[in-house]
This record gives sequence, structure tokens and C-alpha cells, in this order.
Amino acid sequence: MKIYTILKSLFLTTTFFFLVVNGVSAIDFPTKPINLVVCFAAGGSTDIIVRAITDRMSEKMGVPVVLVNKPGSGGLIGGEFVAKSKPDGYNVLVLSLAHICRQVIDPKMPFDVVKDFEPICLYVGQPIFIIVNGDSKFKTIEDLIDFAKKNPGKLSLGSAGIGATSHFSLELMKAATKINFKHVPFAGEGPAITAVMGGHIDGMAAGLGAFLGKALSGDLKALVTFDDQRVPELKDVPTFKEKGYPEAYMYSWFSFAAPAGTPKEIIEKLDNGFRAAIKDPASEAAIKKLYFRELYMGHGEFKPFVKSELEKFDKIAKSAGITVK
Amino acid sequence: METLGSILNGFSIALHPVNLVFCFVGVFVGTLIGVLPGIGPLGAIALLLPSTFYISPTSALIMLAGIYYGAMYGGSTTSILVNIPGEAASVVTCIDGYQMAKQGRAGPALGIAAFGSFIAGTISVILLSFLAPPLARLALRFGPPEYFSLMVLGLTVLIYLANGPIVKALMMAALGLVLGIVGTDLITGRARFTFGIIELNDGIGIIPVVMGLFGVSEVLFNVEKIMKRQVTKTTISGLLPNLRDWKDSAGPIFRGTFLGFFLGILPGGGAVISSFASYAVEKKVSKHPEKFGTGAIEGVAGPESANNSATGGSFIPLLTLGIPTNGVMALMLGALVLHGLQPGPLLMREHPEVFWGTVTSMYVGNVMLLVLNLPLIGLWVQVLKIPYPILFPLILLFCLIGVFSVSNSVIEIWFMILFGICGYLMKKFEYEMAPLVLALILGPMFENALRQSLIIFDGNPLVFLTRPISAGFLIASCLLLLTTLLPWMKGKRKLLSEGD
Repeated sequence: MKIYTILKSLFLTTTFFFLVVNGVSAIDFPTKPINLVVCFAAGGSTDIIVRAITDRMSEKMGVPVVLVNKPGSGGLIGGEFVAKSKPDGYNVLVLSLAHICRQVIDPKMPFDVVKDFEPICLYVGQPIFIIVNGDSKFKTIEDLIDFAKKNPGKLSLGSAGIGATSHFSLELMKAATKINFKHVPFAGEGPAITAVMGGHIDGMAAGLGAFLGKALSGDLKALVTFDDQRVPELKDVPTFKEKGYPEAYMYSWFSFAAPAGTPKEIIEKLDNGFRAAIKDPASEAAIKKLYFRELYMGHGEFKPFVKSELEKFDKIAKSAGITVK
Repeated sequence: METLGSILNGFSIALHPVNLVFCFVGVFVGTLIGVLPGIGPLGAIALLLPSTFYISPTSALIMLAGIYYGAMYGGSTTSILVNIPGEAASVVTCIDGYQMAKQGRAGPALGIAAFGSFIAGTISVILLSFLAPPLARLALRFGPPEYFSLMVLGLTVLIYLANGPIVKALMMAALGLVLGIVGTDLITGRARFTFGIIELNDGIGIIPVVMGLFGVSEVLFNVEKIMKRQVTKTTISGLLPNLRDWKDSAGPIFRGTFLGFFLGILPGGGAVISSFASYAVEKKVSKHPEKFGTGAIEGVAGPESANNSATGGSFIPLLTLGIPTNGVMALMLGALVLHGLQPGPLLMREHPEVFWGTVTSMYVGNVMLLVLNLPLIGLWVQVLKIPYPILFPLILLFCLIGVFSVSNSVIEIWFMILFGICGYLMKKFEYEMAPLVLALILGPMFENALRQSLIIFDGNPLVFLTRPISAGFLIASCLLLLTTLLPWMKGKRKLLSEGD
């Protein structure tokens, strides 16, 4: 009898012990590699800017941080994958403005950026510009705006596609300057830039990294930036703010987010680890080399930022009537 | 003459032992990737891209470029041996290449594919060395209206792909166009025919379609037949092309080279279209067009040369203007950016060693590939001797791996199976697959170019005729259509005159 009681209590204790230990797994996090899901193809700008720090992230987190490309549908495939994965911190999404832009135009999105994700931290941003052909008759942004005002609907401006951040940039400019132009969507930034270089469209909105080489050679010209300060690589290019259109302010940003319901301790660990990786001097150098700006914002600040971006772009989408319903 | 100096300088970089090693690794991996059906150079380059971070940009480009054109060499192998295209550009090689293999002429087919690719690759690199900047500028003149007209020409060329009744080919092309509608519309952003499946938002992928239509269906079709493979009787009549083959192939190789090169320069799918276009051209100029589809070596020599020289051409916009012409070039662009180089017109001027080092390494790579591939022909031909009960499951397995490795999606595998069944039915009722594939590729491009042009030019359809390049393509399409009608008209005239 006595032995039976001892065995029973031993069994119960060990079971209890294992149950408790499993529940407190946040203390051991991370114990296996972390998947960093990039929603775009390898070699693209999102992919490259994240690859620049994965090595340091692995260092600081103590486990390999593996970049996984899940391209397709402008970010939906990768986003859905992480949204539906276990909130244990081992699947992290590279959440970007592109996801927000998609959500405000598509009511049937398989996930919600605010509800289905717990943001970890903001990583980098890249300024967006209005660019034209190097030989274009528009030498300044005023030239462009004047022409558009005198000839409504004549200007043709390209973007990387319906609902892309560049499309939203154009709409933001339209709302701020009250001009009218033809929007020509292309299948990505590359084809649109090619069309501007060939003089087939009057201009487009594009991120710095995509066109800088061609701007420096004179094949393209940047007229204005949507950022709130001039960019060192193109210091002669004014901002919309300087030109009297402070509402035309946005930049393309990239961040890290975990599925909603991920325990607070795990989010904190990820935030701390990622911050250390981002602030590392080697990372800062790599980010600069790629023409991005380091914009680290911790979990506390970043979470409301995501919400405010969602509201801001929702307003733009509604007033411009952009929807894919 | 300054170019010659740069070329010599480039060779000194390309022949550096370190770069030779990278070149070899690249072409070797590329050939393997090309041989394995489904897994294309895009996947391999994406995988290897991060590891190039630690080496110099020139070496990185040399290796990645090697993978790309190596894959083009290897892609023909499975097309010829087992009727599975290694990637989309090798689809056309299946048509006559596989027939040749069935007639015991796999060796000459593989041989002419290798030699044709070598000649085309080398010539395209020579053209690239001397003509890069002006050609790039020419490519820039292609805007939406020019692409539209080029697509019209491409779709017209469909007629020549048909080896059977035209009506059936047109039906398949129409089906291809309809399938091309599936996906998110570029101009409005709305999803068309996706039925809520988000994997369809980017359209029906070309890889599952091609793997299914060619690979899976071939397996199903053959499994149905009871075939006795007599090991001794496998009439491998010679491993290398004979004199007759060379005579027949010389023209196609040269025509294919130039056609492929110029199509490859155009951003947006040059390499794939070039192989189809070459096939059509060879059929048109051939004195025996009825031989096509039954194992005409011209149908292998032309397209294989075209798709290899298209790879050379596709580097031009990237290296001279910083514009990627297709997915692989976009990755190369990424590799340059990763190394802090700004791709654009200044790259050639500020970093000539990158440009010339890469270009000259392509000469070297082509030689390496020829040396690698020729002896392997004997080995590949042995694959045909594997008994079907073992070969076919292996083929299916490779198709599955290929599709899954590219997309990570089970839905794409289902599509492949669906198209496999369709392909089997098509084979039974003798409908052709090449027109469907070409229409599937060209259809969306045609529609997007048309609508973009109409937006830019305020709905004025005359723009296609007022712009010279566009008008040129449209006139060529009309002429092409008219020449197919000529025999019919001659026949009618005869009838009329006899009736009097």
C-alpha cells in the first residue's frame, strides 16, 4: 500500500512538473531556429534589406534566424502563413506598409494586420520620390504640377500595381496637390521604371533604392520626395513639405511581427534581440549601403504606429476610391 | 578598339583561378538544375544568393550567370529524353527532341542541342561585348504599344507551332488565353476567376501547367500502353550528330542565335518566347515542314540555340541600364545591390571590371559547358534504358519535387495533376500542347500591354500604327497571316479556273 502511494505521488509530481515546464516555455525561448518570413521573392528590395541583418539577428538571439521567402499575391501568402501559425515566437513576419495598403483596399484579406499580429518592432524605412525621365520637360515638381493643373488628365504616372505603396504615393500627391492625372499600373517597380526611362510614361513614384543608380547617371530625375527631410544622396531634391504640401508625407517601412497571442515575454525577447541586431554598427553600415534609413521603434511605440498607419491609408483609399472588391 | 582592351582586361579577371572555380561551380550547378525538371535557375540562384555576400561582386555574378546559362544547357536533356521540359524555355525542344529519342536518336539530339547552345552562347557573348550599350537603348524604345504588337506577332506565330489541324491548335490557344485570364487583373486590381483561392491571385503558374501537360501526362499516356522494352534493341544509332544532322542544323542554329539574342534583350519573357519563335521560323523556312513534330533535328537545333543566346541578350539591359529583363536578372540585380553596387548606366563606367569580368566569363563558361555536357551524353542516353516501371515513378517524383520546391504550395501540385490529366486526354484526342502554353504565357502580356497603351494614349487605337516599331510588328503579323492563306488562295484560284 505504502509503495503504491509513493509511486502515485511520484507519477503525479513528474506529470505536474512536465506540464508546468511546458507552460513556462517562454523562459527557454528560443530553443530552435526562428523563421523570418519575407513575402516577396529573393533578390527583391524587401529580401535584401532583411538579409543584411539575419546573421546578426542569429548572433543576438542565440539561434539561427532563417529567412524564408513566401512570395505571392503581394504579401498575402506569407502574411496568411504567419497569421495562422502557432504564436510561439518561431515564425516572424516581415510586416511592411505593403500589407497595410493591401488591407485597406481588400475587405476579403485572409488576415487583419492589427487583429492577427502582435508587432515586435519597426526596422527600416525608405523614402519615396516622384521621378521623371532625365530628359523630361519637367525640371521641377512645380513644372509638373502646373502642367497637370493646366492639362487635367494628360499626365501619365506609373506605379508598381494597384494597391502598391507607389500607387498610394500617387494618390497622396493627388489629394495634396489637387491635380488630375492618368494612373498607369505596371507589373512591379521594374517595368514601371523601364517605362519612365524609355519615355513612355511621364513619371512615377518609386523608392530610393530602385532608381538611385539611374538618377545618378542622369537617365532619371527625382523631382520631389514624400519624406519630411531631404535625403543625403539626393540633397538637391526638395520635399513636399518645403513646397507647401506637408500632407504628402509617407515612407515605405519594414518591420517584424509575430502572430497575435504570442506571450509578452517572447515578444520582449524578440524585440530586445532584434534591437541589438539592428543597432549593431555593422548592420547600420549595411542598411546605409542599401539606401534605407534605420528607424527602430520598440514594441510599445510601434504597436500604435501600425494602427495609425492603417487609419491614415484607409482614409486615402476611401477618398481615392481604390478597392479590389 | 578600346573595347578589345576592355575584353582582354576582362579575360584577365575571368581566367583568374578563383573566378574559374566559381564559373565551374556555377555552370555545373546550373546544368544539374536544368536537368532536374521543375526546379529552375530562379530557385537555385535564390538559394545561393545569400552565400555570395562573402565573395566579390564579380565572382558572385560569374557564378550566378553560370547557373543561368548552365540551366539552359541542361534543360534540353530531360525534354529530349523523357518529354519533360527542364524549364519553360525547353518546352519546344520536347516536341521534336522526344520524337528523336523515341527513334533511337537521343544522342544526336542531345549533341546538337549542346553544340547549338555552345555556338549560340558564344556568338551572343560576342554580340554582347560589342553591341551592349546601343542595343540597350534600342530595348528602351519598347513601350506598352510595342509590346502589344510583339505579342500580336507572337500569337500569330502560334499557327506555325501546330503540327496537326489548325483548328485544333487554335482551340488549344483559345483555352490558353482563357486560362491566362485567371488571376489578379493588373489594371483594376480585381481578382478574376480565382474562386477565393489566394494561390491563384498571381495566375495559374506556368510551371505546374508545363510539368502537368508534358511530364505527368506523358507518364499517364505511356502507362496505358503495354510496352515491352527490349534492352538489346535500344537502337542508339550513334551518340553524336552525323554530317547530315550538321548540315540540317547549321541554318537553324544561326537563325536561332540571332532571333533569341534580340528577343532576350526585351524585358519580359524573352527567353521563353524566343524558343517558340525559333521553332516557328524553322518550320516556315524549311523545305519539309511536315517533318516537324516527327523528329526533325531543326526543331531541336533552332530553339535550343535561341534560348541560349537569349540568356546572353538578357544580360544587356541589366548590365548597361540596371533593368532586369526577367526573374533571374532581377536576382542578379539583387546580388549587385547586396554588394553595394548601384545597377544603372554608371555601372559600366565606374565598375568596368564587373561588366567585363562577367561577360568574358561567359565565353569561358560556354566552353566549360560543352566539355561537361558532351561526355555526359553517353550517360544520359542510358537513362532511356531504365525500365519504365522504375523510370515513370521517378519522373513523377521529380515533377512533384520540382513544382513544390518552387512554390511551397500543395495547391500547385493539385494543378499539376489536373493538367496532367488534361494533357493525357489531349494526347489521346491528338490536341497539341505547345499552342496552349504559348497562349497562356503571351495572353496576359498581350492584354496588359493593350490596356496600358490605351490608358497612356487616351484610348486611341491608332497609336499602334503610328509608332514605327509597333507598326512593323503588326505589318509582320499581317504578312504572316497572309502567307498562310496563299496556298488556300492558290487552290481556290485553280478551282475557279478549272471550273470555267
